[in-house]
Amino acid sequence: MLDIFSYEFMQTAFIVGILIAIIIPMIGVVVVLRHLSMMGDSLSHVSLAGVAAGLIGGINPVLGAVLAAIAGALCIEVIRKKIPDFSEVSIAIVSATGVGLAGVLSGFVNKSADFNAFLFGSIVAISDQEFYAVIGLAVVIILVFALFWREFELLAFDEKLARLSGVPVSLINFILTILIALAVAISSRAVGALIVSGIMVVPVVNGILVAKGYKQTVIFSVIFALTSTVIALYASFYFNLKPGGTIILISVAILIISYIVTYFLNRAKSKR
Amino acid sequence: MPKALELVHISFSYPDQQIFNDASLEVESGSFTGIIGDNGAGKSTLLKLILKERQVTKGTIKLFGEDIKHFKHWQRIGFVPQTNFDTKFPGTAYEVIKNNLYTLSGFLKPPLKGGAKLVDEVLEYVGMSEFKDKKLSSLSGGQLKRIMLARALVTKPDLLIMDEPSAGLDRDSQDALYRILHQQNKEDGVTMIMVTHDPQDIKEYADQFVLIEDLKIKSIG
Repeated sequence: MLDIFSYEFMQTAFIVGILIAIIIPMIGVVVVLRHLSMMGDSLSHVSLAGVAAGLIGGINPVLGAVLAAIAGALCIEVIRKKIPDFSEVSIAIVSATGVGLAGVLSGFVNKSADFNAFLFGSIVAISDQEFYAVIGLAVVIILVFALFWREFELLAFDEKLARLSGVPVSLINFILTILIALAVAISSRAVGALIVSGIMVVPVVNGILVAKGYKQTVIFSVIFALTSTVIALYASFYFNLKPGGTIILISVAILIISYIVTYFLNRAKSKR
Repeated sequence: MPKALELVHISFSYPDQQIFNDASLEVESGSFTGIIGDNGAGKSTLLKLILKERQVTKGTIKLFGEDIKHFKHWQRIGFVPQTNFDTKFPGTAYEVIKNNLYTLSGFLKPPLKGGAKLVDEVLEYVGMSEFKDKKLSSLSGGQLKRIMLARALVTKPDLLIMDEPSAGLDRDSQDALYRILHQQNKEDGVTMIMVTHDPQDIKEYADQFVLIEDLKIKSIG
């Protein structure tokens, strides 16, 4: 069981996987409660355009993904403010632009294997540079989330009431947007741009289902994501599966089990 | 003592509809004011203007004698919304009340010491102690209203603004709510401004009623 850790690439994969399983659902709770579930999806598409641009321009594709995701996140905010009555279309517009750009730019990438590694992720092939970038950014994201815990909680509850409570809503929205962009971009290399938004939503839905409070929801969401990640990394090692896809499939399986267990527990409770 | 609220010749329009034209209103500190008017007359808009969600095109709004453009003491104002916030928020009653204590501490300041005790006290005051750890989504409409009232009262506001707090409640729940409001108003001197559809409900508590009609705010006794 532990011989998996005799391989350095698996040690790296576990460290990176665990960090991603902490930061993505942590931010995901606020994203889901603010009804912005598709935002992660949209930014992951935009980050692919950054990856392609990075590979073409000879800069680190992860840096390209980070810059593109931040630019995409800011565009979403700008469009949301311009058309507040149809704010959700801002996500669709940016997503479509990201996919379009990624599609066009990918035609100019010489090593298509490098680009494809970002589509479904390649957690067992992380370079040292990427490894330290993930650790550094994950620590920053966790610290910022802890620092603004109360502000994020109020924002997740109700933006109008948050404003009345004295929360600088525009600033906190901006910080949240940057956190989402950073988290999505650094995770896309490891678990895949097409998968990261699922990790932002599925464990959180599970957390909301079983938790008895906001704080518990954050804790349970992280626990579910960690469980899926660890099981998926073992499964991918021993059964030669793609880790990114396996993580999301296990997350969905755990969600289904949770629904069934919760349903029967509630039924038993109501019969008492 | 400055008036709790003054609207001085205010005007406001949405792009396709004028709501107020040169309207004025004064609310004495410690009084209980009921705001009535037909649907679409501008009752909720008035609250949005007072709470700075929208800005008047002309005129001035003052809270405790200070123009709201420069007003910084929002901790003195409590607000009880209609149930139009997200009741699917997974927080408990305790968490939702406690997060409003942010008003007293503020941005990047440490949480208020003794906050938990304040929340427990206000929960007991509104008769909801036993629902402390319940999620909002599991509460009835009446219980939710009392939690939102507790959330507003936990900061011990001087002015409480309410948007139809009794809408959708049965008679017993309404009475329980009005008793709390009356007690706050008479014993603690909290100024009450309540938008209501049914002035009969608060006739015995209100000091004045104002009617929003024809772009004006008219005092009707």
